[in-house]
Amino acid sequence: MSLKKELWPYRMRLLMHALLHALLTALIAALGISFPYTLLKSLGLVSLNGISPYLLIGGVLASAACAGLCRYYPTLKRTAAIIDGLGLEERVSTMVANIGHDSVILRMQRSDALGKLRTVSPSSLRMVFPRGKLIALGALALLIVCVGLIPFRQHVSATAYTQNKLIEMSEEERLIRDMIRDMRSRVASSGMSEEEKEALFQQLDALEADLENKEAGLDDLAIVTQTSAQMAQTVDAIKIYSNWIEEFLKFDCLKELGEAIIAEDKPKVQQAFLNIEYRLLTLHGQPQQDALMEIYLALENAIKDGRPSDADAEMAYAFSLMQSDIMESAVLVLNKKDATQRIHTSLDIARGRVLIALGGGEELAGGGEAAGARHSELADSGAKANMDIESEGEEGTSQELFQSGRTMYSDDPAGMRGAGMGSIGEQRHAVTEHIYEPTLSTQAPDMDYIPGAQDEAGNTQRILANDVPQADSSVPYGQVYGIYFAKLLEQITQEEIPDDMQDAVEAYFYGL
Amino acid sequence: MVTEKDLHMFSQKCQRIFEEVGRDMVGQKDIIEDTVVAMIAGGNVLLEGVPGVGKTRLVRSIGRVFGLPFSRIQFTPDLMPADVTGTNVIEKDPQGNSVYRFQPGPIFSNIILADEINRATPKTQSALLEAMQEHMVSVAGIDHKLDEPFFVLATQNPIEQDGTYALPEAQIDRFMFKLNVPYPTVDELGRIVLMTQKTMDEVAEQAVNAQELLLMRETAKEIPVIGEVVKYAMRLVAATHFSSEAATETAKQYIRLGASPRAGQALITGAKVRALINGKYNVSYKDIDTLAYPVLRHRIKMNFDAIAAKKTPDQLISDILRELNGRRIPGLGRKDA
Repeated sequence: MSLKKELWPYRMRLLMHALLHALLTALIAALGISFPYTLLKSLGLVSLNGISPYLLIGGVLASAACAGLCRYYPTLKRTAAIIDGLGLEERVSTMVANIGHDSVILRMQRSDALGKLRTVSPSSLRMVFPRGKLIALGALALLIVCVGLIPFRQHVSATAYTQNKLIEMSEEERLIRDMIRDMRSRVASSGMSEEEKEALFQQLDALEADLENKEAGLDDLAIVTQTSAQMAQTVDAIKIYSNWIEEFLKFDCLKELGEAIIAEDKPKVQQAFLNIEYRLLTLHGQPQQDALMEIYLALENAIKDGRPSDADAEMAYAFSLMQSDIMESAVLVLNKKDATQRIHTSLDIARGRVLIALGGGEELAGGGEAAGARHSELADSGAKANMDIESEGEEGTSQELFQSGRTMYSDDPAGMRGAGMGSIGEQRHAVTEHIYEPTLSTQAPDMDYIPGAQDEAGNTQRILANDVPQADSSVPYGQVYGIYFAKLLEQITQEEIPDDMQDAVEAYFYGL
Repeated sequence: MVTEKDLHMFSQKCQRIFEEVGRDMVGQKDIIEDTVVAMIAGGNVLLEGVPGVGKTRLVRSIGRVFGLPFSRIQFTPDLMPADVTGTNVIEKDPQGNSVYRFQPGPIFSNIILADEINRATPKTQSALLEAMQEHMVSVAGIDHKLDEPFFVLATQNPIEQDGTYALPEAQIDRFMFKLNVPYPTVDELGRIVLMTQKTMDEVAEQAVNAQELLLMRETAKEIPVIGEVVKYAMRLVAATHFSSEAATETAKQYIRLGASPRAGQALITGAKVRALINGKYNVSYKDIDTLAYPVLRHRIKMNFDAIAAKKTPDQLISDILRELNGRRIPGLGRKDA
């Protein structure tokens, strides 16, 4: 029997030992990589998204296993040395070293070695694990368990939650896609202009792109949750979208507002805002929410389209504020809460800022009459129409507010023009506010100011030609409230009101 | 070419040698084995022991067992070199003329017992040195070759060092082994007394002759030794040098002068013989470790720190071996392999 065959049983046993050694080495290497990763991940300092951490650890494990196997692989020479360690006194090593050589002594040596070899069974080759490696393995495993247990637990539950969420998301996504398809066909078959259809199609394309790009990581519960929430809103929005075309067709005042801004017709702007508010406050529940979302999207388009006026930035800011307020109103409605106050406030503020952006005062006078007439018509029809504006928790609030608005709006018969008021007809008592002369800064002559001049009729704001407000003016409260509120938000944004007073000031203005 | 018959003969002869020597000597098995190993390997032996432990008796028995002419030289302080090597004497030839005739000294023998070698002067010691190294003596410019095999078995007394001359490193390095002959145990002492009560005669008989001894030497040379074992032996020698890259901590701390390359030769040669004597046909690490003591103890010079720490050469050798062996993984073979 050849020498290799003689040594084969021993090599097999040592090969098994080598595999165990390699596994031990690989585990230590893998745990050695896992521990810092787990520690950094639990501290939130690292998050491997592009490279899967499992791929990295697996690569390290495979490399270490190969290295360990190469290190401990039982070559013939190594096997001989290990067997000799069992008391054979280098007989087998000498035999292996002299393979292929022949002499009397070598033959006798071989015979002697084989004789001794047969007295040693392969099972005598005990596995000796380095104590240091075992301690290192145990220590690393313990560290990882201690460091990674809590995050892992959350991770495990988060993974399960995430998987469920992903399943829900998949179904939601299918629903959304179906609804997008449905809406495309409805838009295509609607009687809208090609330009409007194109704008809507672009919005739908953008929405579909968002759906494609939304990826929820299994290891990030927050992303999944947020994505689900976003997609839930998107689903609701899609549900709105499916109805919004019809609403849009009914809701002409949005177009009216846009046209008025383009023409920089401030009285028409005021009237448009009034119409919008009236329209919104005549709705409630789902229709109201639909209308709010429609306005939201329409404003987005308005901002994107741009304006030739120098007040573009101011206008965009006004509409962006209005957008967020409208969204908040929509959320309130979604949650079955009364959004009347919010709607009123947001439109008022937006109106004020839009008018600031457009600037001037004479123009207001020019368009105010038509706006006032229109408002009067709407007010009357609103009084006769089903004014069942009820909201949970604050029944009749909207009606009262609207009524008080009517009172305000109809205060000035002939002179109620401009800033969102319009002229009603008869002279009535108007709630006025005393305007104090603001302090102007000579260093910043273009600073914002609050127009507060009153004309001979007593109710019309007038901005002087040099843009300096007239002192000690009295104007109807409703004219300036929105401007005041806009200014307040600006001050809050610029952090000119102390933090601990912002809430109180804001609540005061909301309560007015 | 070594034959199987030679190997069998070697084994038988060794067995016979030990049996015969054992008839004259009680105990001292390791000393006898090391001495026989040195003789088969062709080396000289320095025996150190207190008086009465059987050093001289051992050498005489060895001489008788090997069937080799034996000379005893008692080294004294007044011993002259010519007393060792021989000298030219003036004689009258048959014609009545005065002629010089070389009178060989006691060194002209196969086995020389140099008793208490450290008592002779360095000049006399150096005369022996040439013979030990070159197996030749020079007298009056004429070289006289010594018969083979030639061995010097020297003895020295570790006590009574007053008035002695320590062997120079050059000479002491030429001894293959230095053997410390221990005091017999109580049991051995009893047996010695009982044996010598009967007779003091040495009864060992010849076991081998010169030719067989030379053949045994050639046979032992053929024993294979793997590279790892040779490497280990060389690392062992290098480890005794404090300035060597293989120096151990012990060497760095306690050794002033390490072993010479002759130590490496002695280790391998002696290990081969020892392996064959023990019935093995290869040299092992164990053979090297066992022979490390007789080979190295007289070749390493301790520094003052070792003397102050009352270290012995054997202790230093043990420490060096421990340091070297500690780098090997037990149960999984040698790491160096």
